[in-house]
Amino acid sequence: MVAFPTETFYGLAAAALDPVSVRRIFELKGRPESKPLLVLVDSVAMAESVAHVSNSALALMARCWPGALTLVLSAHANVPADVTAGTGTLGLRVSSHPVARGLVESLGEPVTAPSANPSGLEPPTTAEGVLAYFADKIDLILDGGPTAGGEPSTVLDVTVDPPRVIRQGAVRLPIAGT
Amino acid sequence: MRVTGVIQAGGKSVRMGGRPKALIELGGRCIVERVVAALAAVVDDVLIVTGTPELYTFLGLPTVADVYPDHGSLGGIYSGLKAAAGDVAFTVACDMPFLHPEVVRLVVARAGQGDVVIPRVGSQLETMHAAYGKACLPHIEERLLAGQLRIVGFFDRVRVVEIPETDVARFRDPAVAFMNVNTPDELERARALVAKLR
Repeated sequence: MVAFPTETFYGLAAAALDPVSVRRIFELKGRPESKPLLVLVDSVAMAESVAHVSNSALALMARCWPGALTLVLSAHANVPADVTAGTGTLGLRVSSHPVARGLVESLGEPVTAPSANPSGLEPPTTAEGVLAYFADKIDLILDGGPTAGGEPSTVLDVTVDPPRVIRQGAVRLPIAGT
Repeated sequence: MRVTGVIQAGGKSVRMGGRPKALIELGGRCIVERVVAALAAVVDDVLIVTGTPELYTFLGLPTVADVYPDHGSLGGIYSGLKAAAGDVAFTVACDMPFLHPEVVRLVVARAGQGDVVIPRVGSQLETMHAAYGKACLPHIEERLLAGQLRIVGFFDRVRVVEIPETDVARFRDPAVAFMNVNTPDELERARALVAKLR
């Protein structure tokens, strides 16, 4: 279990395809298990390894990745049920933060990225903030200095037509021309 | 530094019998979709330079027409760079089915270190897998107006940073990563390769 900086807040990284690691996230955050986890990938190819990427999703990736647009896609069977929360979907994005992206690249597989705070509390923007929440409960913090905070990623469900905004965040919708 | 991915789709596909090669299906996706997929996670946004935007509406991406039609690939590079929202246009052709995101990233990550950032394979500069900065625009335009369409013709006027072949080869055989599908023979070769590469 590793805490790491993204372009908004510090997140909690676990290998998204490893059910044991994913379970630790829920235990740590006390997170309600009805919501799918947000997961970082480093490429469309990696996204396609865990989810069905439609043409409309591809167009949104081309316009908004790397960046703060999380796309909810239909998950392949290799994705643990804890990640999809039984919904058969998961939220994917490519982070524009070099540490976050480097972490995914180094692991070579998708990484969970929920904010590093207990459910219901403020997401941290510093490594110290993460320590204050989870001092001895995580293995490592990648300290990338303070993150920008602000709005979390926009979450858009593209498994339905038309796509549905689940959370309005840093990327403003609708996107011109889509 | 903001980088726009520019896909050049202005060619006439003469050697494929006029069939738009970007739209040929390969491994479950048409070639231009494979190009978009390789760029999407690396560049900040993507646009397509084409004289036939109706062919590409299904991609849901912005398109621009050539500023100087019939001025070859250099004209296309100019048009994409001029229209790019980014400071840099990472430019590829629409018929390169085996682009690799990490090879794209090699170039994009160094954008800004030179006005042109470009891989070299042997004696060949990969002009259709290169990052062109806005500072190139006046030099390219001068060449276009003079009817001099060789892409590398303006390189002596700008700062050029080369990416060595060995860096590319860490991710994919350069002959494959930069391959394009111009002829039915090349398409056959691509079909054989697609099964091996994901």
